Amino acid sequence: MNETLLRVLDLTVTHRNANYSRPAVNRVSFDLTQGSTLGIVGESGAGKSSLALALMGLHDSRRVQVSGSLLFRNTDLLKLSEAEYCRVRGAGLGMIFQDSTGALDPSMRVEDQLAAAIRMHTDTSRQKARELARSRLAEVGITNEILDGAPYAYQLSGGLCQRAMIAMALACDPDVLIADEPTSSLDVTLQSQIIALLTARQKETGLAIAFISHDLALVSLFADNVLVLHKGETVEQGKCSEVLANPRHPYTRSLISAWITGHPQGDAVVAPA
Amino acid sequence: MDSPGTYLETNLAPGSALLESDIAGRQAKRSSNRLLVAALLMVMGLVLIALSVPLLPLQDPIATDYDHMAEPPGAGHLFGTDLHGRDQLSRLLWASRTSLLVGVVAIGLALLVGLIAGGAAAYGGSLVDSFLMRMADIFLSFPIILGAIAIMAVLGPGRRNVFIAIAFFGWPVFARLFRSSVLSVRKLNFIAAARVLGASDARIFLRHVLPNSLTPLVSYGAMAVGGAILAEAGLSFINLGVQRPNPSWGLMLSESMGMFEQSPWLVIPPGIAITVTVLIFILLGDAATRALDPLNSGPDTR
Repeated sequence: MNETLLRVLDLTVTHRNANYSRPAVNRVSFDLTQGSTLGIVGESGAGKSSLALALMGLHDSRRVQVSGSLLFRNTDLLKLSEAEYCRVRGAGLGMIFQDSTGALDPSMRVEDQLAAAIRMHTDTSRQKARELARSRLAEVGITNEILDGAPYAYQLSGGLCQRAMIAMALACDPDVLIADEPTSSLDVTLQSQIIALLTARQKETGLAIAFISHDLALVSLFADNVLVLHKGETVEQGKCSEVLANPRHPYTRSLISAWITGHPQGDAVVAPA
Repeated sequence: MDSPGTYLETNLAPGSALLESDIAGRQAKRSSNRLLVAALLMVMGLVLIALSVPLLPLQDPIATDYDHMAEPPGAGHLFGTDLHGRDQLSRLLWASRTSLLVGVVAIGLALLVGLIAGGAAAYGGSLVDSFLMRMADIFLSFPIILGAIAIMAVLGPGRRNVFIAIAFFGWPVFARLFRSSVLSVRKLNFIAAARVLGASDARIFLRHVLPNSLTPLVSYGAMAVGGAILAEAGLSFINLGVQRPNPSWGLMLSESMGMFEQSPWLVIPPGIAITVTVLIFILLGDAATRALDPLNSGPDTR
């Protein structure tokens, strides 16, 4: 049995200001075990991004209240100080975003950004960190040749930026990777390359992935478990195959049919609702 | 170590690293870099002249010679002599030191104050922010030369007070630029990316926010040096800046203004010196704007 790395219990994320208070995520619970992938699916506004930010402790604490518990290797992250959380980010929990070009600093060489990330969490010499950064980038297909020709993020194509960002998020070998719509802005071939990259890495290191997406079809291709969010509530949760075969909630059914109708051979499988 | 492409089904050809539109972008980048190099060379030329003045075989810029007053350019005095018989070339070159010094020191002071005030406004919460920005508004509502005149009237004339007067009214623009630049950079995605990697707030400010917020200040700063040189010339022209008998372009103009028809060689060279120097700094600021912005790599649309 694989170890449970991240246990989320009754996580509630509330946005509030003087006039109103609205839960963006309401009592969501899930376990993330080593080497597994959880797909978190929902439409825009379902609370996916609020959930991701809360997991990383990146919410604006003046406007957003987070309650429940977030156990990472039996430590409650919600009780950590900011400095302690900084040590967990990157080394324990990694995160990748949808906008990869924007996620890389335009005034710093890509390899320097990776080297800096490595040096933040490990005691590595400058020289060693740079070599490590280069080999990490090579692992995701960004060769030294590319780096020498186009050292800055704005010189790289979108697909390469996405790879660079993944390499950066994984540079310090986090146990859990939170992927917030990492492939939503990519075309289909790049999408499958990125997912192949993530799953290969997962097989090798036992990385646990929380893959956030609006695309149930995509998630069903590789996720072990799936959690469907709708207006901040968990409407469906379980093994991916079971949820797809036997959706209990009407919202899940409509998500599935939305995918099926868009699918070329869709009506051969399930008729639209 | 894994070989490249272990995780990939398809390997990428090195050439595909670059977007095709990037070629046009690089050409635009190269031409804006050339402009920057040209501007920097001109500034370096100015600095070189100013620095080498004491080493050049020039006549004393202050020594009067009442036997040779207002002489036209000739063998003894290449640029002629002024109304007190002082060598015009020597005064012109010595004055360049004053101008550059005022430009650099006054703008350096303004930049320093602006960075502190702008940074405090961006990070200090809404109360500090409103206070500092309303202060900046008040300062900005004065025309800089009028404000400087008022300060000089209080502090008294002299070069050191010129620094203070110009910096006093120069900081608000730097503060506003830095504040807005920090606020917009802080919202960018790579700041969030640095945070998820575990970077502390101090580290994020120093390594990511600051370098990416300085571009507009560098460009404006270069132009502001030109503005400060102009302001110094203006203050000296009305006898509030550099004091006689020290040379300053503004002072030289005001001394010989009435003599334009009889001895134009006294009026035209300092005028040209001011214009050319100010233009060079404006050019530098313009070139820096185009060349330094890493996001501005596309073809020039102007």
